[in-house]
Amino acid sequence: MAKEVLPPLPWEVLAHILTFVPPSRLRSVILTCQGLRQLAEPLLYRHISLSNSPTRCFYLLRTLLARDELCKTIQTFHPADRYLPDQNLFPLLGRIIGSNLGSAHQKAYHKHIERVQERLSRVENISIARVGIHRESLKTLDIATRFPQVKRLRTFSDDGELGSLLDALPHITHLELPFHKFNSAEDQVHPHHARYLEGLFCPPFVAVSLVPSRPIKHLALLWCSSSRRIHGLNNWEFMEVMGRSTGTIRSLALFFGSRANMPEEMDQIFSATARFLPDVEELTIWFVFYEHNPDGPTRTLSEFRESLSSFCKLRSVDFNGSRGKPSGVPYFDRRRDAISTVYIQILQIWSERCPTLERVTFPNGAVWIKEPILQFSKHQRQLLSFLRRTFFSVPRLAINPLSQEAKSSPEQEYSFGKSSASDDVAAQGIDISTNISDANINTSTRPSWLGPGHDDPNSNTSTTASNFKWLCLNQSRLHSNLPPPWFHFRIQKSEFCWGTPMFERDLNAGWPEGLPIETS
Amino acid sequence: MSAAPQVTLESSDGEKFKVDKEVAERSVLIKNMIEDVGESDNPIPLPNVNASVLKKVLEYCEHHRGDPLPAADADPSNDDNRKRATEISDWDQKFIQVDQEMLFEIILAANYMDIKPLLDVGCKTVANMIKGKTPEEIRKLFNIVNDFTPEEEAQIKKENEWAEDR
Repeated sequence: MAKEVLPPLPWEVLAHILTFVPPSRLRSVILTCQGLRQLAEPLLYRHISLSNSPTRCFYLLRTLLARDELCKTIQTFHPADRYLPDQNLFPLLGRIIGSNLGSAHQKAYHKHIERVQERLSRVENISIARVGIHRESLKTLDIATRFPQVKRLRTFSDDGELGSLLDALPHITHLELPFHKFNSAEDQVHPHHARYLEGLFCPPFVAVSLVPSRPIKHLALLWCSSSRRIHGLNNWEFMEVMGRSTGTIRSLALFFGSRANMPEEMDQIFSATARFLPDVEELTIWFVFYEHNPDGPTRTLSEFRESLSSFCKLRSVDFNGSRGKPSGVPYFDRRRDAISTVYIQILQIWSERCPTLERVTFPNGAVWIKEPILQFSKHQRQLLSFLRRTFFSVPRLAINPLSQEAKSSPEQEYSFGKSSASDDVAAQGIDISTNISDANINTSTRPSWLGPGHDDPNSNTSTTASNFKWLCLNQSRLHSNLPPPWFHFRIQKSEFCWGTPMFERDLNAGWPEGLPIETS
Repeated sequence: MSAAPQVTLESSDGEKFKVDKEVAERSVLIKNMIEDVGESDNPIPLPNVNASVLKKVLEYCEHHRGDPLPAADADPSNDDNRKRATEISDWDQKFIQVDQEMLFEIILAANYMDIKPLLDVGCKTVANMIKGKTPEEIRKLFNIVNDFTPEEEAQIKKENEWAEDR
């Protein structure tokens, strides 16, 4: 009987399949049958990260407290509230976000989280909250002592000493201590501590002790009031110390916690960074007082302009904090605004000075992404023009100059204006990259890859292609010098043909140089 | 240049396939067999794989013959997320565009013959099929019968409420 219920695939294979299913979809799998539930549940409860939804976390805690065995599968435990901001550091925000949770609820909530934490046994990534409003905090050192296998720790609790914490966690690779007040970090950190540390988020005075001779790759620094002067180091000297990481620092985030902490010498910080951390590819800069001070952003942007050319590998600059280390932080998430004319001027200067720059996020959340420059020959342009005419109801055109991953990398997709990604690619689109060849393009008859349709070029018959929602071109196929004659199809104008005027205009003007198609 | 050494594989229905040793050795099972038995002209029997599936599997092995062999479970914790990324290369995607029965047969053969990359391609494809499906549709896909009582079902729904898609 049991056999009949089983799918034709053995359990070990089903278990393997489920590892490729994103956790958000596992819920449906769990609901199918007992067998799959047993396979999928541990996967769903392996990495738990609910950064900004206390409500969800209530539901989660309810389940975990009722079912002990699920706690044992947890490797990552980041319950919501980890980013409830420190009241001293972010007084305004602390008040706003704190008020979302009633204080009685908050107490109960943290008690429950503590109870779950006591039941964890395999945890490797864990965050420990401290609620600014209540001084009751979970004991970081207790947790660390109980789970010496922890690799990633994020803690907002400032009890205990840094030295003991590092003693307890020999395998630590990522450490986040954004609001710690380890004033004597210097004396507590020994060379044998945190030898595998790759990511660090802390105030500058902790970084001074932890960065040198450790393989740090990702560094996030939070300037708070006590760190204005870092052990007597000036900005230049401080960045020199950061440069002593044995790893290559590729991402750097600088957070400035309050107006008073805004260093006068931002330009100096930038040039020191460029000088001592030349390999930085991603730079994040965020000021909390952007909210109150409209001049702040513009000032920073202009100061940054001077030192920009010194970064030779910089790919991404983020003035919004959204791509910085505290991802998914509610108060770091801003709505995305448009790029203003001032920003466009700034961008022009920036891209001249820093040709590697690919992405800029402005303080207001506007995002600029560099369009890859695609070079097409005359024949290729003709072919594209033809395709564009033929497929003018196709909302998306994927042009893939290098790799074969066009379908999976949305950055490579170009839109004809409307982007309506369809999952069901096979039914509604065509990948002509493998179907086009010199042989079938070099003919004035209808190519087979267009599907069945009317052969008369002058007829008004709609082709099947007009129903496509998706089209992939592989540029490498277009390299061959395709000779005319080109196909001339007229596709019946139907309701599919949104945006027809635009395309007609384009058609008349011919395919512009450099292929400027709106990015999707 | 001398001709590449070849081996003969025999499917469950008795069809023989002569392929380059390098191609056949994409399968860890065959590789081990050759190592154990030594090279011989006797065909290697694959009693769990029929000819049409074996042909397909060998097509995959042929295309990927030069690929570096996957490291044995390299860094399972660190690259977890990357590994779970459901990217499938273009060629593989086309290769695996077969009906469901064949897909499952290929997965079973890859599992039996121990061809990890092919197994992954198959499993990713099935995982993609699961995405966005309701429990009922998943049952249909795997030919599963719902063995939950309505109470159990309600209980499970409640337990996993936190993971609900927004």
